[in-house]
Amino acid sequence: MSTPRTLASLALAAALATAAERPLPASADATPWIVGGAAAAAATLLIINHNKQVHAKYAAYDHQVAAEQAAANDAAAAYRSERQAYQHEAALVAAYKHETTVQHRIVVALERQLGERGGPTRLVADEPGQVVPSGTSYGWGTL
Amino acid sequence: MRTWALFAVLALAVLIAGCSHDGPQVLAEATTRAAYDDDLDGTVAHFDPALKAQVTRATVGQLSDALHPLGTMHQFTAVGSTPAAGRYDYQASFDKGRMLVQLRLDPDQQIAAYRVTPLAPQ
Repeated sequence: MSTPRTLASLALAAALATAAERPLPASADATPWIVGGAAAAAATLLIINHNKQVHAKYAAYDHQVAAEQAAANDAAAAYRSERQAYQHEAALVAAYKHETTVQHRIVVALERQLGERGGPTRLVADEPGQVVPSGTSYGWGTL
Repeated sequence: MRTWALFAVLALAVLIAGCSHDGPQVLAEATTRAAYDDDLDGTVAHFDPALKAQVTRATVGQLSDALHPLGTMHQFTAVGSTPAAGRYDYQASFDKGRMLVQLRLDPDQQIAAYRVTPLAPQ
């Protein structure tokens, strides 16, 4: 488990929680669900982060046990420990995937809010040279 | 012997010419230029039957009206494609702006969807 990643997740969660508390301009009264959603997302990220830490700790422990057992020529026990470590790492990957999904949902929700307030509809900067559609689309058929 | 070889080469050339289709960029350019000229027949020339049925003179006119304020149409540049899905995107450059021209081709290389969207100024 990398410390910078943990810190980044915590920072994101904290930023979301802070953003949720910040007074909202314009249609703030009409969007209490947005505040609730941000807080829920922040809580979800904290839970995911905790789960990741647990899985990473267990995976490291199992690897260590496997190495000790291998050194002691206990092949079967070493295999079991490696397998257990692998399962924890697989769970860790699943947690990362979940985290990415939650973060994506947050970005999409924030972009929607920006759009509703008449601001830019993209939070992520576009690549240089990337085409950015704007305005009405003309034509026929579904792409 | 040489006559037969010459005949075979000619036959192959005719066969290849008969089988060839215009590339997606050629289709995109031809369709967009026809729409720019408010030419209904030219606009639908490469459309599949289902898409042709959706096109009216009025909608071609709307597209033409949207394109003309941008000035003269210049080159098309490929900006993305997913050939497996028949999807091709091009940037059409004009004197005063750009348009995103998007195509979806059917398996017969006919246009099954055609969209033109203004692009943000650079």
